[in-house]
Amino acid sequence: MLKVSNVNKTIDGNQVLENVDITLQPGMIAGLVGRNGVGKSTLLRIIAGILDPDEGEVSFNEIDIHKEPEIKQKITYVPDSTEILKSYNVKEIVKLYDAIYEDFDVMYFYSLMDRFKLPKNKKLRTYSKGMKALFLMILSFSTKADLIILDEPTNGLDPIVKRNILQFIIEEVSERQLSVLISSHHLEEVEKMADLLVMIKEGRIESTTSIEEAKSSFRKVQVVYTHSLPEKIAHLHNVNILSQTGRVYTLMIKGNIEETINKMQQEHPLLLEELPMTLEDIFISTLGGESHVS
Amino acid sequence: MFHKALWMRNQKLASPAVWAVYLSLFFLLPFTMFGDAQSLHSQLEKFPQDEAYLSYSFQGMTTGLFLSIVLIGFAALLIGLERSTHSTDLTFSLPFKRKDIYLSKWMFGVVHITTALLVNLLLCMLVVRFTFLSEIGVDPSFLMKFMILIIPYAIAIFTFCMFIGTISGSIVSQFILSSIFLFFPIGFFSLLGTFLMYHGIGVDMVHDINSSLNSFGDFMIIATLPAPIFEFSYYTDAMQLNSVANDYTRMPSYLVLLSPLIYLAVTFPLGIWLFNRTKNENNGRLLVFEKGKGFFSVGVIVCFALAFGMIGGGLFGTYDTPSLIGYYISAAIGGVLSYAVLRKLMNMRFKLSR
Repeated sequence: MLKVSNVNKTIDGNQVLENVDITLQPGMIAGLVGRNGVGKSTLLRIIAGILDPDEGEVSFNEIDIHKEPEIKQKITYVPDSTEILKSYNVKEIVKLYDAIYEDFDVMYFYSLMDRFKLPKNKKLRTYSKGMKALFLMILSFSTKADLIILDEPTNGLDPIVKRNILQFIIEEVSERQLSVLISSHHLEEVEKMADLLVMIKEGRIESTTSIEEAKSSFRKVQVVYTHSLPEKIAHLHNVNILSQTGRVYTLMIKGNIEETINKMQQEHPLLLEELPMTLEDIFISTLGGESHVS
Repeated sequence: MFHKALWMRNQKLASPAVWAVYLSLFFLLPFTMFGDAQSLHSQLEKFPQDEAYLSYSFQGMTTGLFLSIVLIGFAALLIGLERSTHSTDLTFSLPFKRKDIYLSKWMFGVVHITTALLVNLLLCMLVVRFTFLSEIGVDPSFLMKFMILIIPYAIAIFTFCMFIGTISGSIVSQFILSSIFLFFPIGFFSLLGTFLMYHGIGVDMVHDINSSLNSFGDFMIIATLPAPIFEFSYYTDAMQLNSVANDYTRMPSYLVLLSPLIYLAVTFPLGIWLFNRTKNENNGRLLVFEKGKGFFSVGVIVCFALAFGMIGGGLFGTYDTPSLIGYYISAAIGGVLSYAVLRKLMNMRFKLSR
């Protein structure tokens, strides 16, 4: 089990992370979402032991990963850059990883290479970007780690490679009790695969909920009133405007859903209908910031 | 403590430097020595009457200088390259203690440096034994003395450069800072000596390699790591073939060997300590640690001010009456210029993609 407790980090005088707490149970996929520059990569690099927290602790199975990095036999980190190991060929990497990780499964690695049709006798620099990303993922899962940290794994990949990668991650998690912590901007991916949604805003954890919980605490509605949006509604703290076209407003309600809808009905709308909601809508209304009504 | 995987990783990172160590020492030592033997032989064949004038000499300067540059590069490939290419993200995410990562890099370097020196000096002894050099009376025992001098010095230089790697944020800054700080004592004490001279205090800058620490100059040489290697030389003058030759070995006093030991005793544990606390978020910058920035900046500005003062004071004054005003004006210009450049450099990130 991964436990991030009260982690703080300041870089160049800016507080990048503030009192971050996350707990990740075995067998769970957690999606870390947040806007650019909110500290997602910094948090993942602290969890991987690359950066030290100024305060707080990261432990895996009750062992502090910064004090006893040997526990990272069970943790692997795949950075967002595909530039690492570029000067190696596949055989050299296998040899290296076999020497690093006690449980590295060479047979399994090569079976995955065959399955994804990746060339085995080449240097990594000759691979395309998608192949490199897929390769690093395969390598990481072949270590038989219990926690895999993926920083933007599908960034810049074509839809087919992306689908393959996501499918592969879901398969791996369903086969054994491993945890995956994945940071991504592609919310539809997180929505499809994550059990837990960790939203991060300005270095703080905004919310940690399951995708279902997140969806049930939000409601997306479209309303049209005779004139503009009544002030009574506009001033509600739990209502965000997602978009406005003339008198047609698309609103996001966070919490107290029934009560808020009743209040809207009392203002005699010309139209009030519920819209299907995606994680992206929750992301924009929670982490977007600019369009808050009040 | 020993991890095969880290050794393999170091091998990949620093293989150009490993080749450079073995090859440069081979060319500088046995290969050159063999060439000298051949040319002396052909000289005698062409001019038999020259027998009385045959001489052979060996200087530590070339080997010392080349080896220092190679060692600076070696340490820069082991630490700085990772910082510049962001491969630290891989190395630091592995299940190894930072101390072990550092020790494996240091051990990797020390093993190769020592092996390369031993193998090549052994080859030199064979060259002396089996070539024309033995006929003109070259005594291979001078190579043993050179070995006693160069091995601790090479290890100390490498350890020092590794230590500089723990405070510098990129391969470029590590290479530059190592080059500067390796020769820092001789440079800084010269600047200080000039400063004192301008203020009427004379210091004895002359040094004598056989008498340790009798003058300010002696201290300068001993405190500068590679300098005593440059002082080593051997000379033989054969009056007649196959006879006892007049030879002379210029070897610094054995007390001088305390200098690499002191450097090692300070920079080795300090390197481990700093590497343990490294701030990877500053990779690519000039320095890794924010805390040392102020001290470093003041040091650089003072040195530049002293250097500009030394040059400017000489330009404005005459030979026997140096100009103190000229010294201070130039020093101020140097200080301001270095401050401006340093401010830019401190916030710059040097990146390499690899």
